[in-house]
This record gives sequence, C-alpha cells and structure tokens, in this order.
Amino acid sequence: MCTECGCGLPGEPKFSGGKKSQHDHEHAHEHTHEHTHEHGHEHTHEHGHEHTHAHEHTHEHTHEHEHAHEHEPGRMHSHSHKHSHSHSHSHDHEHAHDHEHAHDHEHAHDHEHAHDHDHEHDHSHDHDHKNTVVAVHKSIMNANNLQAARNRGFFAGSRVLAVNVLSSPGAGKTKLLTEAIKMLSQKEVDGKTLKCGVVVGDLETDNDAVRLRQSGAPVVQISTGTLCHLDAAMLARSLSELSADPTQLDILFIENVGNLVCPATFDLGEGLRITVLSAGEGEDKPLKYPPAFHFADLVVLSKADLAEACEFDRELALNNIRSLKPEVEIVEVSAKTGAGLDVFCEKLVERFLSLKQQSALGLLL
Amino acid sequence: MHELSIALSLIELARAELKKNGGSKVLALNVKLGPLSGVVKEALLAAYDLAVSESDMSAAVLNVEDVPVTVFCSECKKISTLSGNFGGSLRFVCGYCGQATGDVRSGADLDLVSMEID
Repeated sequence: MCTECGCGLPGEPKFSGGKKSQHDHEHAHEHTHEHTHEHGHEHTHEHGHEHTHAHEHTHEHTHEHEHAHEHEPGRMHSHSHKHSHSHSHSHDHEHAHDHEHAHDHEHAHDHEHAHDHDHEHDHSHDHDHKNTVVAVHKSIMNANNLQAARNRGFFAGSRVLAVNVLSSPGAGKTKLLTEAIKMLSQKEVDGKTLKCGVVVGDLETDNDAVRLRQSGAPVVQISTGTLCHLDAAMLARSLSELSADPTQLDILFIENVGNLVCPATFDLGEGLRITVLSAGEGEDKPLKYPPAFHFADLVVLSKADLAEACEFDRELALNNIRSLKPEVEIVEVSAKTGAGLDVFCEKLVERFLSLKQQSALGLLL
Repeated sequence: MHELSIALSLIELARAELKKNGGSKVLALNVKLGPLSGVVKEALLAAYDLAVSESDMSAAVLNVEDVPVTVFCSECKKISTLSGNFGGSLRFVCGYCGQATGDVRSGADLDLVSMEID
C-alpha cells in the first residue's frame, strides 16, 4: 500500500523484460544481496540526499547479517542473524550534491559490536525487563530507505548511473528517454559506446516498454497493478528481469509511474533524479506540487515545440522552479524536434563521468 | 499523506524492533515528527489509536515530538531554525540573511526514535 496516498492493494506487481523467464523473486534477492556481501563491513550512508532527511542524522549500520526480504510491495521482513545497531549523530555537510555514495568507514563505531551483544538475540535475559527504553532511530519509511541504500551501493559499485525520472502522466517521459537513449548510444566514453537500459513503471500495459525498446535498449516493464509509484524493492527485483547484465550498463533509466505526488517521497537508490514538466502543464505546476520539484537534481521542460501554442510563460516557470530549489539545473527540450536533446544528453554523460571518477578512486563514498 | 498506513508501518517497525530487543511488550513509542513530513500529528494519533485497538499493541502509548525545520544557507554557511506553518510549501529562506535555500537539514522527520518496552 502506498503510505503517501493509501492506494494499492497488497498484491504482486508484474515484471516483464521481454525474456521468457519466470518471475522468481528469490533470484532478485540473491542478486542484490551478493553485491552487498562482498564488502566486509558495508556501511551505507546517505549524504545530502534531501528527501531522506532522517539519514542526515541517523545512520543504519548493517553488518552483513541483516537481510531484508521483500514479499509484497511495501512489506519488509527483517532477519537479523547477528545484530544491527543504530545510532545517531549529525554531520556537517558542505557538499549537498554528492548523492550516490555508499561508504566504507574505518570507524570507531566498530567497537560498538561488543555493546550490542548484550541486547540482541539474547533470549536468556536474566534481569527483569522493567520499562527499558531502547533506542531505535529509524525512519518509519525505514524499509524502503534501507533497500534504496542497498540499490545505491549496488549502482555505485557497478559504476551504473541510475536515473529516476518523474513527471505527471503524459509529460513526455517515454519519448524523451527513447530519443535520448538513441543519441547516447552513439556516444563513446573511454573508447566504448554507452550502454543504456530502462525500467519503466505503469499500472497496466507494457506499451511504454515496447516504445522504449525501439531505442535498442533492454527494457523491463513493471506493471504495478494499483500502486501509484515505484519503490526501491520493485527496482531491485526488476533488475533480474533485464535481458542485459545490469552491472554492464552505463546508464539505467527508471521511468517512474506518471504521478507528481507519491514518487517524490520514495527513494529508489538512484544517482540522479529528473522531474519533467511539459509546456502544456502550466507554469505554476511546481508551486502546486512542490516535492516533485524540490527533490529533483535536474528539471526538464519538455515539449518545447508546443510552448508557443500553449502560451507557456517560460520565465515564470523557471522562477517558480528556482524558488523551490535555487541550485537546480533546468534544460529545455523538444524530443520531437530534437531541440535541446544534445544538452540533455551532455548533462547525463557529465553526471555519469563524475560517478565513474568517484568510484574509480576506490572510495564508495 | 495517508496517516493510517503510516501508523500501520510504525506498528510493524515497532514489532520488529521489539523482537530484536527480546522484549515482550511495547509500553510506549517515541516518534519525532517534522512539519515537512506531510504527516499531520492529530491525524497520526487518531489513526494510531484505530490501528492498535484490540491488538497486542493496544497498551502502547504513542508520544509524538515536533521537530523544527532547519536549513543550511550556502551564502552565510550557517544552519538556521525556521518557525511557522509551512503548509506544504517548500520555499525556505535562510533565517540569518534571507537568501532562498533548498538545503533542508531537518524537519521532514518521521522517525521512531525509541521505544519503552517490558
């Protein structure tokens, strides 16, 4: 169920990658888990990722042992084999733009191990439990945030730029991504052509996946049924349906369900978040739907070829967007005519290169 | 936002934490709630009462602490605490110099901070 709007009956979303494979969700679990277990003590920290504010102050350390299994959307079961401990402290962040990091810290925190043995899984508590206060420090959106952090770690480790694309229904996400992928597939980075993949979410049909496949990229369609947004667990599961090995991709686009409300508050573990606003939607859309624009790294003003006919006040739109997020990047594109598409693709390549560079330093920070 | 499903997620989280700590009963839940979380305190309290009624958690008291919005300003490099009712608007200005800023450091909290257990 969507904790934003309450929609969505419990039930399995469907994944179709155009492969003749079964939806074996167990595979998906192993897929992502393998990557996280390779690193000894993997600490994933969220720095400056504005929509998970809790993470600015609290850190969840999972020492290889805590597995989170997704059985239905939005429901998580945690199995702790040893323990997990949480604590909170604040960081002074000067670099608000570094989002896609997973950390490996040589922290003094390790010595907290000894501490926790007293608390966890120790059923032979001899002392009376009289009104003990236990620290939790977890966001109530914890289950999704935890999976998002795992996804983020996976993408960083595999040098994949994961791009979450949000907009209202009909703003032109599919067309934009199809054309962008065609252009990106002709570009070379380090002597190799860029490889893109897509995961697209809709309530029903795989129409968008069919359209996107025209770009030549591998595409997975998630049919959510009734759920109005994609969440981190769905993204993780969809990766196993891709006809290409996700670790071999350079850019993975995630076309979210057309909805300017709920997707904004669900971290998928992406490295870049784009919100698309089309010329026919009106300049005050950002003011009416603040979160979708506030949490965007890049805003695309799409269908630029229609702007004049719609009497779209471009300056006003830019001002409205900037009032929510002064430093946000804004690109104007017409996927139909191709205007601005090269600028859009350049921004993506820039972001991809910056991710590669950060990861190359051996610091998954 | 849908406070009932938030309440249900909270209860599920509390149950998981109770088990991890080897406790037998939850006596109280201490939650921090920020104005930017989109959750209305009164609605959450009402939804919670509904969600725990006639369940093993019905004795668990929900305490909700309001936390303020704090923002970081890239101009004066300071964190300021903002007061007032934001009502869903995400336009913030630095409390010191008035510069528009989107760097929110706290205020979107929807956290289970601690639990009192038996």
